[in-house]
Amino acid sequence: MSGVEKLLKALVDNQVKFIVVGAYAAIMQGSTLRTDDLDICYERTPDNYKRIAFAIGPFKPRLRGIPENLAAPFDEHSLAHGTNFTLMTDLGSLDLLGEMSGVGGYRQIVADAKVINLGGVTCQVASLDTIIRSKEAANRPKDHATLPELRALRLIQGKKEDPNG
Amino acid sequence: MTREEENRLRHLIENPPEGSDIAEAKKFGVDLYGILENLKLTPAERLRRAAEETDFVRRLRKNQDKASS
Repeated sequence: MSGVEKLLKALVDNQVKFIVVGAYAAIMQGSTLRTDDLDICYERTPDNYKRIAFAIGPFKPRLRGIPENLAAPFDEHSLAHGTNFTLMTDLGSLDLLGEMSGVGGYRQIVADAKVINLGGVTCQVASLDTIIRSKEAANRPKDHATLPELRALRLIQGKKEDPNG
Repeated sequence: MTREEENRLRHLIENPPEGSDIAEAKKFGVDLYGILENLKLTPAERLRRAAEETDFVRRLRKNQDKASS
């Protein structure tokens, strides 16, 4: 099992309320994009902070870009005092997003999220509409470069017999 | 995906309506056949393939860092 799959399984097993967003959400729906980071949008409640901290704790989460010997432990208190976090774990990069520009937070994104079965693990994945809106709002060159593919994928998915497959 | 559906989507990719997002993507150089290939896989297979590539690159980088230190 890959690092990303292990992270997703840990989050699902611990009943974290989250939605996969960003490139991995697009990949699961057929995109050819590639990324180093697993991005998730999480529900901002104290219970969920605890579940997240417990789920990813074994993989030694730490803020990216801070030397390991200086990094404070990342836990439920860290989550309560911030919104968006870019983390490194022993299984790879993990971005925890409480709010996303252009699309909002968990409650907004969940409205049209898709439920995807990953063979034993079922998780919620942001719709292509949401991913496109977030990339448009982020407005960085690297996000703009993904838009032609994402828009084409949305159109092709819409022509499929089973748009969820 | 059935062969029929694959052929239908292949036709769409090869003959996109003018001004459509597929036509724009084609102009931009997007690998539309790559998308078609991905759509033959299940979401779990797509995730695994991408994630394994990421793990492979991560291991390479780690080994490179070790070798250069």
